[in-house]
Amino acid sequence: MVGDGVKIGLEVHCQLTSLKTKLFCSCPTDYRGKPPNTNICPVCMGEPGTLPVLNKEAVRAAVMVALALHSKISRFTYFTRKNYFYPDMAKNFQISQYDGVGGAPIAKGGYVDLGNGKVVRIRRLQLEEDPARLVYEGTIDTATATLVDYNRHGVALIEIVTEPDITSPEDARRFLQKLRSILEHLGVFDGELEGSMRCDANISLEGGVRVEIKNISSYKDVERALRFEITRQSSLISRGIRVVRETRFWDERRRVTVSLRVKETEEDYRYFPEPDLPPVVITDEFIDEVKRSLPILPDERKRIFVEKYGVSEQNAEVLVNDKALADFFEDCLKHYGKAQELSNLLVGDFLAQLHSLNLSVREVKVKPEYIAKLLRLLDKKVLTGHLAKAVLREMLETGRDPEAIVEEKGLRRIGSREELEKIVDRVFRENRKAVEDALVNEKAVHFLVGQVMRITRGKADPNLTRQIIKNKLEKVRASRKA
Amino acid sequence: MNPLLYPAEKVASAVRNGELSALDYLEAVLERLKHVEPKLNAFITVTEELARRKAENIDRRVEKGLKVGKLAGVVVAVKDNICVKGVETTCGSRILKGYRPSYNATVVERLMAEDAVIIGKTNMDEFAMGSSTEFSAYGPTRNPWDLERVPGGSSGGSGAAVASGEATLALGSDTGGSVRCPAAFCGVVGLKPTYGLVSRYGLVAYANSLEQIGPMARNVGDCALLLSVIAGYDPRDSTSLKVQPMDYQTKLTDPPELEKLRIGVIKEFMGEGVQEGVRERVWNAVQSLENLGARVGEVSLKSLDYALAAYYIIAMSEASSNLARYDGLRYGFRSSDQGLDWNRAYAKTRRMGFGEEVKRRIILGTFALSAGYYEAYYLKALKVRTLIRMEFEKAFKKFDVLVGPSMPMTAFKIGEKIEDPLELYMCDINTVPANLVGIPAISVPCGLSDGLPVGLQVMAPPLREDLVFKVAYAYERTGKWMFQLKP
Amino acid sequence: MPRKSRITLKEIEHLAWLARVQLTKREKRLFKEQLSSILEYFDKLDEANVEELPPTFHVVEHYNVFREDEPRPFPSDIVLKNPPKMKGRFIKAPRIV
Repeated sequence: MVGDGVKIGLEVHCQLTSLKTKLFCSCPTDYRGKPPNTNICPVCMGEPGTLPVLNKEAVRAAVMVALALHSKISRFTYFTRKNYFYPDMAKNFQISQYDGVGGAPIAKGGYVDLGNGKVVRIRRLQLEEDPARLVYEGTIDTATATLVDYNRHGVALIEIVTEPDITSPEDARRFLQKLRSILEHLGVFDGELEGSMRCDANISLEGGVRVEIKNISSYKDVERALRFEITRQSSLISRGIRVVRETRFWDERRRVTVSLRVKETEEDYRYFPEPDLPPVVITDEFIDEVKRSLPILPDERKRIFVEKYGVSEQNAEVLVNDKALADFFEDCLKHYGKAQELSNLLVGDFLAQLHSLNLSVREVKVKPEYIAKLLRLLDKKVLTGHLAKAVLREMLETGRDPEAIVEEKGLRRIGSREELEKIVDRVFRENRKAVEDALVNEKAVHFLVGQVMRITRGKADPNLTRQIIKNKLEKVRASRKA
Repeated sequence: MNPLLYPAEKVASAVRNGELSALDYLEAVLERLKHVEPKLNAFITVTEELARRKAENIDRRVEKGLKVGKLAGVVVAVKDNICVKGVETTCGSRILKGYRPSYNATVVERLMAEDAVIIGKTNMDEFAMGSSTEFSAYGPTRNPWDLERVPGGSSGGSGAAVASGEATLALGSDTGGSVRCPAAFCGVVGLKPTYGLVSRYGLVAYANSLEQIGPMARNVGDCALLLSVIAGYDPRDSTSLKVQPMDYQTKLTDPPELEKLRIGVIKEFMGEGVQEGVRERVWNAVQSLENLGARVGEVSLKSLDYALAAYYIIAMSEASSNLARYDGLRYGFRSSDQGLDWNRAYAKTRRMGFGEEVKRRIILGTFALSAGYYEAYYLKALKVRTLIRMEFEKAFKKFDVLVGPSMPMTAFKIGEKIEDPLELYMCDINTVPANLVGIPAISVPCGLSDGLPVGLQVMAPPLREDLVFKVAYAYERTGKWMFQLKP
Repeated sequence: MPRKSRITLKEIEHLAWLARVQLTKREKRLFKEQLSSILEYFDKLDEANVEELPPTFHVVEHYNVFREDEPRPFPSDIVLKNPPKMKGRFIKAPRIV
């Protein structure tokens, strides 16, 4: 079957967006929205004679990440030059770290719990500089020139390399979401910023070879790219064509992976310790200090949601996988005490509506007390579930108070028997044929209920409506017998 | 006395007191430069106008009674691998043609702050790879003592400029002897400081872990003065040492005798490969030091046999990576790349931009770092480096300074060694150890052999520049050597 | 007796590719000879008994040299005077494929 024996390993690059300056120079990191090549200096442009100086906060941030991922922190670590030519590298080497002769990454090992019974092991963590942004005039394989913007070149990246423990594209996306949430909880990373997280994926299918996919720049795309690749490879295998070991490039516009057809010699990065940077010694005291300053992390937070608030495991997992959502949940909880009901709304309709509005939790303008109000309107049966959805959408679009929306649009549930009986009478008058059907066929009752909903624009209490219709049908039957 | 022969300190004091106008002095140097430069080719760029503006500015301030710096009016030549903002910096390479740094090297900032007048950028072996200044894309520099001979290298332009009076002082850089070799060949004083004493920020990297910017001058006092200006901690260079600035000049005669100073003559530096005349001059110099009260002994450093190989492996490896950035995109030369993909375009720009010696070292360095060879070459060389360091540490327990010839020969003829790279590398045999170990080493003229200058090399433990200056100064004061303006 | 070359033409070509330096035929042949004799000289190091010694990456043993995370914007227009080819504020590079 397609997708069997899939092994995926990810190399995730996250900008340490909490840093105000680049990794090795004092250029500000606030380049987004600025003209190309604005946040540049002789150092990050690799001008001859310039030297790197390590950003102190980058080391602290990396140690925080290492602790959060349960990794083993190196007491002695240093930077390594990774030598390779590419137009996105100003020096044609990257100051990075390396796990091998000539290197010592800042941390090794560790894991991320996906919360669905699966655990992804971490191989290593390392600090390195972000390459420049390349803009192709057209697509990468047809452009006649490449335009280089060095604004982000030299921004601190933490590279997180996993073991090939991921077994599906969905889990790859889950991993990225969980990782993002962890980093956001640490306060070192903001996943909302465009291009702040990118990854490369290694994927192999049962009996195939490892293919590397580069240039994946979103959570959704990791799933798409891997799905595409699984389909491509299994289709080759099923036709008896050998899968080639290669590096492919994810084209996010066309949503395909393309082979770059570059000369496939074995990469030889000629790693050696960066002579311009002295090593970094990380002491137990420093680690302890960082440990003490660690904020609460998703797994611990989930435990609290479940054990203290009584939220279901499943809902809690969804909540903590998005820091903004978990924060919002806790804010709402201050105004509405029924945690499970609140979580149902948030992980259900709330997320679904955000998705259809193409909004992130952070963009939500709704005050937590309004979510609480909405839930209370449901509790008091002022709103039906159907109405609540409409009110919620209006709230998300405008940020308004649900009570005001209910008042203004008259979205109150019609729960008065008298009022509904009048409407049912009207439906019976206007749909004689359907009433005849309903007398003999239980299923045709739905149609009559639907008619009531249509006339009341969904405001009718569905249970009461059904009850009134059934009673009326019973009366008709009785009168006919008599 | 002809102001052209004034020591730097005298120039500065005369300018400060209003006895000498900085501009007049500059014009005299420029006149000299215009006279000898066609013969020497010591400069790649002469910054005449910038220099005039600076000199005028100094004179104006002197007139107004304002403070001027330690090097007020002193004319300094800067090797073309040290960045001066806005002034073309080529490293003697075609690939940096047109590159104007957007910043000043730390040493240049310090020169400017002390009111030095920078006269231009001196010729050098391309990217400092050479010992003769023949490997420059801008033609070879000639030795002021004999125009048919090389001035040494790679700071040959700086050496020739100081020897010929085209500048009062000069900055060179020393990766494996590039200050001391031209100092020896041109009959001037040149120092390679302790690794980390002088900021490398703004020195175009050849081999980061080995090199230092070093002062070159006509006498030891000037050399010490220039070091006092450029030395000191710089937060922009992470390998810079946090040491207190020192006035090396005041240490020259403190105390003036060499009583009890233990001098070790390195046997391996005085062996077979050394020209007879050179050996003789160096022994005579050692004799003079002994006469001043020093205790002389011999010391054998067996590991020096490996120094040259270790040095070249390390230097080439680092260079292969440092020089990767020259791809034509951000600065310097770019070949036409119509129809070429980036790989081919880069390879073409680099073919046209680099000279043969640079290519040779890039290829060798790439080899030494490549998979399967890293441990056999690069790592091995670094271990040998440890061995040599240990042996020097041991030697410095017995001796305060170690001495020998700076170069095993006097200046050779232009073209004489250019065909055989290995033979040329062998010239550095006495200079590379100080770079591997990171210690200060000076070359001070100690006489002539067949009419060509010979340099005495003095090495001391890390940060003991005061010691090497003291010994060099004591020798200079014997009067056995007097600076002569050439040609 | 002619010595066996320490490095082949093919290796020279591969190294030239890794270093992105195009070499002429003459240079390749010349380098093959010269590099072989230089590498032979480097073999000297095999005599050194250094297996147990640590490598000296830095002659000065310092560590934890940091910079505070304080932005200091640089006037980018000065830097942008140098690139030979620009398009607007972008630096122009050759095509990728």
